[in-house]
Amino acid sequence: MRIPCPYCGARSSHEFAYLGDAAPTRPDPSAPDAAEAFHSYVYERDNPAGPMDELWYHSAGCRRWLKVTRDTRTHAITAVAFAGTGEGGR
Amino acid sequence: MSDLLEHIAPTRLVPEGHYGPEGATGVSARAANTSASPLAAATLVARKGATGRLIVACAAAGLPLADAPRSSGGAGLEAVGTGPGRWLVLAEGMSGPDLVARLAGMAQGLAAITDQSDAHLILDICGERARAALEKGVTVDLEPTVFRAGDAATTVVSHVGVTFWQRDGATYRFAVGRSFAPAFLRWLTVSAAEFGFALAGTGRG
Repeated sequence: MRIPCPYCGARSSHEFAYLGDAAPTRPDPSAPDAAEAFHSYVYERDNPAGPMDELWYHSAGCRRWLKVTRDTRTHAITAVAFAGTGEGGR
Repeated sequence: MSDLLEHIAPTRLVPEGHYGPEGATGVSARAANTSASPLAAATLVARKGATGRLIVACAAAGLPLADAPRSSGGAGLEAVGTGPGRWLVLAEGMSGPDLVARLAGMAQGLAAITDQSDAHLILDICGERARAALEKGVTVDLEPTVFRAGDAATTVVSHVGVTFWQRDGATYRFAVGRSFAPAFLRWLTVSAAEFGFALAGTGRG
């Protein structure tokens, strides 16, 4: 599988490290249901068959986190962008 | 791996010399940063949100920068894009601290600058079969209509991380982490030997 890095161009997936689902966001630790929310944030994952937003780190290239939209059935990649906000994902 | 390197310690640089069929030299490589010809290196990393202003400041000081995997030259320096807002800058015949001071003057506080003069083995690889040899391990497309003079890539070759760029029509310059240089040179020697490989600048091993 080749991932089209916005900076480096299309590269083999072996240059990247995989984190997984890009959807979970860190809960508010001061909220009353924080323990439950953190359990869900750390452990609970969907396992969709189809397009999914994922985080990949281009460790052997530009060293940037990417948000990659990949179809889990076909490995077809439909969108790639730097993760985070602002200039170059920072 | 062939028995070509059987008697060369894997922890040492491959000694300079000629490898492969005698009389043919399809690939030549020369270490560019030796004690005889020092080559200073430094990383230039834009502060948060300052990439555009850094490019303007460096261009005004004579060093054009592209925020892309490209190399550019100016003011006696050679800059290579390694990531968004990041460059590796080389300077021939200059000391590391002098290069850092020079870049600090150019960048006007818009970048973090770190001396990397001891970090890499810089290797110039050329010859009419250089591309054929490199293609055995470089997964970036080196076809001349795709990877042209000035293009750069940071990638993995034979499990070793490298940054390389094409300097002119025929020469590729590789920056390899110094402690990985013996492994990279072993891969290069074995890959280039079938074309006849002349290696210089690495000493007697």
